[in-house]
Amino acid sequence: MLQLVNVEVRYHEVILVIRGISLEVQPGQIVSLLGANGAGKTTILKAISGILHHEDGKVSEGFVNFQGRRIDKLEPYATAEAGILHVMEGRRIFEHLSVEENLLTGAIMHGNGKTHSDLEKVYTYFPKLASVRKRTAGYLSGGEQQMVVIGRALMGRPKLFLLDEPSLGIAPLLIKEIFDILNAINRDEGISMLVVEQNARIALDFSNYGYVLENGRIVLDGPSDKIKQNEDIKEFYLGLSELGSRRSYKDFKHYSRRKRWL
Amino acid sequence: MENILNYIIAGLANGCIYSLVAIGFVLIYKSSGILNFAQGTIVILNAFVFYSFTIQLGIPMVIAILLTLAFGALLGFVIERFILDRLIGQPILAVIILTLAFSEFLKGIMNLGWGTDILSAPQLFPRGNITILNIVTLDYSRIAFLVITFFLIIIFAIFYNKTKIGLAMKATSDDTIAAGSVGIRVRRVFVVTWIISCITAAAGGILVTNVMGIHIQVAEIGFKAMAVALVGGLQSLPGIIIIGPAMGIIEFLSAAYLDPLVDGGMRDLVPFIILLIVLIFRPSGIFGWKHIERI
Ligand SMILES: Nc1ncnc2c1ncn2[C@@H]1O[C@H](COP(=O)(O)OP(=O)(O)OP(=O)(O)O)[C@@H](O)[C@H]1O
Ligand SMILES: [Mg+2]
Repeated sequence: MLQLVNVEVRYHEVILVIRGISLEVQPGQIVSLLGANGAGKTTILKAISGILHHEDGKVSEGFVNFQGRRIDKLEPYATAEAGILHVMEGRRIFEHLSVEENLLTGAIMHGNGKTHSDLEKVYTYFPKLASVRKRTAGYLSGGEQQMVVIGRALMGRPKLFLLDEPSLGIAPLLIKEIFDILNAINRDEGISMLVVEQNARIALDFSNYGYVLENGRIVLDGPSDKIKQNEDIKEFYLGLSELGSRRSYKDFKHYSRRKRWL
Repeated sequence: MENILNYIIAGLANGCIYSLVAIGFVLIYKSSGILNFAQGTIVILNAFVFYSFTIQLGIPMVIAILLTLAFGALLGFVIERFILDRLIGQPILAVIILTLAFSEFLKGIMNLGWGTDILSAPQLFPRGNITILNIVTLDYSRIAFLVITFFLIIIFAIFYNKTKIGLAMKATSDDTIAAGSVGIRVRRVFVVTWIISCITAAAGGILVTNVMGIHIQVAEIGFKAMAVALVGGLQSLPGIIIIGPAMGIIEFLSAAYLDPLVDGGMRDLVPFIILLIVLIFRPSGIFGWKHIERI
């Protein structure tokens, strides 16, 4: 349903950040995108949702297709209307609005009578939000805020979620809860997901297929189970050696020099 | 005693108009970060247009009022779509300077079109007054000001708090990019914001010139409204609705009791002295947003 073909992304016409990548998300699939800081994960999501246009960035080569339609020139509101909801890095809630108002903003673009049942659906997935619905969103905990932005995106009746580091800065127990809910949403609503994570273990457990990004290039892709078995991934992203123990910092450095060709 | 009450009521009526104009000013600031220095000029431009519709063209009052409000709406649309649209991606300061330049441009047009004399506005309300319990004397136009601005503010509050467009405006003012990402057409929100802002300016213009006469100096009301907005807190609409009348009252009281002591001028000075004091002690205004900080 989503295809990126040989996509190159530049900021300010010159800074080449994504160097020709191809990637695909099938209907109902959960795909993860892994990579170190600055690899270009967020940039790829922005290129898909159109937020790139607000940062003086552009898809300078290749194209992005969604359900047979080219979308890389579209504004964010248009990709949202097409069914792509981007849950941005850093929990971008409307901090002065209440939780419920935040959720309702997600339904503005549809404007028909199903808003109420959509709201109930969000509260069913996130019972915690129901109990704080009148609270000002800016004062919620990080985990609750993450639930608000996912719920807000769900209100837009998406076909595809773009999730940028939903685990960032959230306690492990809550991370598990949120990913369990995302799993349920994927299963019950049939929403496909492209999830960016630095936490490779969570991402690979959660997804069906994975891509590994380095310096704006895809260096490895495959079914998530296969990627988990890859020795380099084990070492570099999962922090495990062949023996299943942590490597020392010295080995790590040595490895990072070697990993270039991967 | 009688006098002081009269001043308070008169100040209250004028202050409501400050609130009205300040709402337009603040909406634009909230949604886009632009301080619109042309707000006062737009107020008086609408008043001139109203003058032309009624006195010069002889259009019946009610229709002329509606036409003027429609002109205000059109002006807002044109400013956003054809002027500000070109400046997208430019630093916000450039846009603010542009509003200053635009204000001067409009003043030039008004000088050409309507001259520099003080024109007398068409009479909106019957002359005369009523005295309540022998204490307060209210003339009809003051009462009308109070009632009309009260209603306009209520209508606006309902629109802002109960409609989808209002919600879209609030979301956009909180986080423009996030608003776009959930499917809100942010460009459209900006246009609507400018239209509403210019309609409130038109309503303010029609009302205020009814007591002040129509001339370019009335544009100063833009600065009074700005002072109200800053004292209330730039993002707080309830704050502005409270501070506007308070400012009007203070202004009239200083005109009555301080001006005789210092040969005049206090009426225009006091609001800005208050502004200064408030900004020193509470830079974000009395009801302004404190940035929500969670660590
Ligand atoms: N607006 C911008 N203008 C110029 N360069 C940018 C811009 N945004 C990102 N970059 C650069 O693009 C590269 C990739 O950034 P991106 O945010 O996509 O990385 P990321 O993989 O999401 O990293 P992280 O894990 O830290 O979030 C970085 O080198 C960054 O400096
Ligand atoms: Mg990122």
